[in-house]
Order: sequence, then structure tokens, then C-alpha cells
Amino acid sequence: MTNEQREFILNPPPGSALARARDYGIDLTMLARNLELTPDERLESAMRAIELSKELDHMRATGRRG
Amino acid sequence: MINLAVAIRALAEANAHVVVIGGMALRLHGSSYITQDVDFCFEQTRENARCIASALKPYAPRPRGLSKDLPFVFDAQFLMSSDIITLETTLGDIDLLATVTGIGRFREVDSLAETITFERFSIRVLTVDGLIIAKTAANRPKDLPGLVELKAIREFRAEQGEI
Repeated sequence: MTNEQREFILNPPPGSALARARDYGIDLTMLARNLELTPDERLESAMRAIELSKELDHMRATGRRG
Repeated sequence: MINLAVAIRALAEANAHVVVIGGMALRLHGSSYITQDVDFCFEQTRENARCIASALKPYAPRPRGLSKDLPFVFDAQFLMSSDIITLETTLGDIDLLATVTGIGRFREVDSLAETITFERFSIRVLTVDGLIIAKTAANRPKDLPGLVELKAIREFRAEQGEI
């Protein structure tokens, strides 16, 4: 991703969908990082997120606190 | 061990007629959306059902919530029996849907899909535009963050001339 592309995401034009996403609470730095990933890296990242989410569910269910 | 990537690859290598939809499709387009399963729209034909059954069988699929004490056979007939199949497998949870709200059945869904190529396989994935249509039609509060992010991704990709 070029600096220009990253800048477009991180400082979106007013009224744009990116600006609306930022205002909604979407982390545009994370979005920019995700868009830089290859398909394999995105799939791997999704797997890690599922693992984490399941682990958190398990911890909630068993009452463990870190 | 959760590894739904293996399930996606198994279906791709079996040439099953499936399209990745839902949260996993969002992730593959660059979203941070959190999902705990992988959803596929599948062509509900006898031949394709046999193909899917064969590809997933090694991972011991069972309907989610079905008591472990009850016998169950995962086969083509089961896949033909319902429009919505929710499975637990040794790889994680998998949903198979014959219809996607707002779009239609497999043929319509596939017409709004693109091929995403990984290092070792390729799979059809619902496009950003297709996901926006489906999420808008579903009109579920939990989908709103994903929908907002999808529109941002669409804008970025349009700005790059990709769509």
C-alpha cells in the first residue's frame, strides 16, 4: 500500500464512507493494515480471531479471570 | 483445534460448488469483523451434496446442538433436507446455506462472487457488493458494524479502480 493510499484511508474526505466508518467507531488503522494483507494472511488472521473468540467464550463459561 | 481454513481448502479441492459468505467473506475482503464460524452458500443438487459430504466427512460433521448420544449420518441426503445446515466439526463450526437473504439461491449468489486465490487453492467468495446487498437485506443490528466497514472498503477499492 502506498503512502497516498494509506493517507486516503486514515484521513478520509468529509462525507465519505470511510469518514462515516471512522465516526461509527471502525478503527481505520486496523482497516488499512488488513487491506495490506495477502489473502493467506487474512485467512490466518481470521483463524486467530476465531481461536481468541472461542477462548474468551470458554473463559467466560468457566469463570476464569487472567 | 479450530482450523476452518482446512475446511475451506477441502471444499475448494473437491471442486464443490460453494461460495464463502458471511463474516469469513468480510474478513477475506479486509474487514476486522469477528466471526466464529464459516458460512457457505452451496448449490443444493444431489451431485454437489455428495461432493460436499465427501469433502467434509473426515472432519466428523454433526448438526450443532445434536446430542452426542444420538446417531447421525452426514451424507448427501442430509444436505438435501434443509436450506440451512448448521454443523459442528473437528475443524470448527460450519454453516451451509442454500439461499442467501436478499440475493437468492446458489446461481444468483455465485454471479455476485469472485475467485480469491490463496497460495495453495482458490475459492469463490461473495463480493463486497454482494455482501452489502445481503447484509442490508438481512437488516440485523449485529451486522451494522460490518456493513459500515464494507461500504468503506468498497469506497477504497473503487478509489483504486479495483471495482
